[in-house]
Amino acid sequence: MAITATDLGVVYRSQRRGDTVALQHVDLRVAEGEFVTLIGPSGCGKSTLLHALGGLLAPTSGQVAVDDKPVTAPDPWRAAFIFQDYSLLPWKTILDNAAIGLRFAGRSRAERQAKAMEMLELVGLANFAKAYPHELSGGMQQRVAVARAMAMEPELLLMDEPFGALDEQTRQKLGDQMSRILTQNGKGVVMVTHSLDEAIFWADRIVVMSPRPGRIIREIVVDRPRPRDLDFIASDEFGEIRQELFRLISEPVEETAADATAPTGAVALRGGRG
Amino acid sequence: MSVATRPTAEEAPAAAPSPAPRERRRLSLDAKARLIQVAILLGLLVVWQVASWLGLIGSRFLPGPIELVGTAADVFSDGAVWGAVGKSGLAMLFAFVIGTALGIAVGFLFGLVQVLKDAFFPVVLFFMSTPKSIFIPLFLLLFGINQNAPIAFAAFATFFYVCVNVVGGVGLVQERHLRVVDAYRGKWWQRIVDVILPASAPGVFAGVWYGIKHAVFEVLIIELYISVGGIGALLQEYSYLFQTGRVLSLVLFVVIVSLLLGSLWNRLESRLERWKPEKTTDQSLDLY
Repeated sequence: MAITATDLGVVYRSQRRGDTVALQHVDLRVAEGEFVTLIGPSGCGKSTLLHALGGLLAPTSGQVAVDDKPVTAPDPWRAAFIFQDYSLLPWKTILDNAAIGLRFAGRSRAERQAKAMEMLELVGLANFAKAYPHELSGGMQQRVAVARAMAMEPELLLMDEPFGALDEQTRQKLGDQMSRILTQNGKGVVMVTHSLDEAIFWADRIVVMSPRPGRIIREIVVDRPRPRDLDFIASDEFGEIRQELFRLISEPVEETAADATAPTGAVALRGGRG
Repeated sequence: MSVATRPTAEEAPAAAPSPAPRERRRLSLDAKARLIQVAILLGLLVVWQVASWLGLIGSRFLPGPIELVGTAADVFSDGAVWGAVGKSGLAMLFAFVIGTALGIAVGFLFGLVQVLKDAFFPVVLFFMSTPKSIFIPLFLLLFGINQNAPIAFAAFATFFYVCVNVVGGVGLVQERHLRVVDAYRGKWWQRIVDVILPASAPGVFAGVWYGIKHAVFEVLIIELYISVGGIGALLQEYSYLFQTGRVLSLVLFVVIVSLLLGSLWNRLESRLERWKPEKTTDQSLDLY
């Protein structure tokens, strides 16, 4: 299964602030089993692109298609979302959270519990099946969100800064676990990130976006088999790509409206220029 | 095929490290507070009793505790009192059911349909801040001086408190949880059952509690206002006859029943909201 975005444009209309062009002329193709990372300055429309790829947001122009069939609504069996803020339902147990997609699909209780349990085992949280989300740490909650997505056996996972809210150490460990699971299960992934290291370390291909209106300004192929060892970070290849990305992202551009929700990572990058 | 990943020490669940020593200390503080409460209460009772024996307080105005117990026994062995209690209780129950059901229904309607909320919620808020008792004469004109007037009036007064709390509850629904329903293809009714209802539960529970409280309160108010029978009427009768002991017995009875209702409701709420990290309200203290 390949997913294709053709001449994609998204305009947010607001009566108070006028129209905001979030995406413009975006063409992207994600091949089966490919791991693509989306990176770019904050507010560049990375998340918008991800949401449009998954059918969670209708584009203003252009279209998204899976194997030539246009995407009009989310379909977790095809592409399942993992959000930055985990978004587990706090009133449901971990098991019920992992099984929510199967519940929505009308599967029997026995079937969805068995499947959810299998996925919780995969992410190492089987012991917490009966707990509630508030009893788990952020990293563990995100693993439940991964289990929730994997329970749908999707061909593609759409991850929106999945590790953005975690501390550096948890983030590394979790990222490592997750990328192994995803690679071994042959899942395609589109992952939004604002971490250069994350973008390079996991990706088959890095898609770099410009500030608003978001366009794709560069695609970099990372030619090394996955899963990768930590040694990769110390390699020359990694360093070169990192430098290139840094340059692309911190390139001077016309001032865009200050984004109040700018992640600190992106701010630090801009500040570190020169 | 599976990959062995298991939670590491740093990732232990947030709730797991149990502060055992602190827990013990808080319990003993709790016990101390109880002790002081009981001691002060007993002290007051003793002072009251002694003052009463010494004739510092005329028993006509305020009988001593021991005398009061006798009066209470007297009052509650009287069939007339239980008749009044039954009558008021039934009115309260009906008022609670009608006012709360309407309040929840209209509250959800407001919460889900923005236009309706914009149009009519200000009206509800206006009534909220108006003393409802000024509408008593109107209800007596509409329903006559009979059984129905207290039920209708108390249901009316209760409705606003329930409605406002339910609207607040629906306001607790978070966009990101609804987004999960969209992304994982939930149907419209699953949106309601799996997200909107549980997310707004705290507001609904608060609403139900206000429903109980105000049904009791407003029925008593109207019974005190005009002779439609029930506890209020009996209270008035006793006070006209200067039977302070009897008045006090009834008042204490109402207070105790209210406290019991409050703690029962608290229990039920805790059971229904197991998923919550902590309780948002300690309603047993919030009686009026």
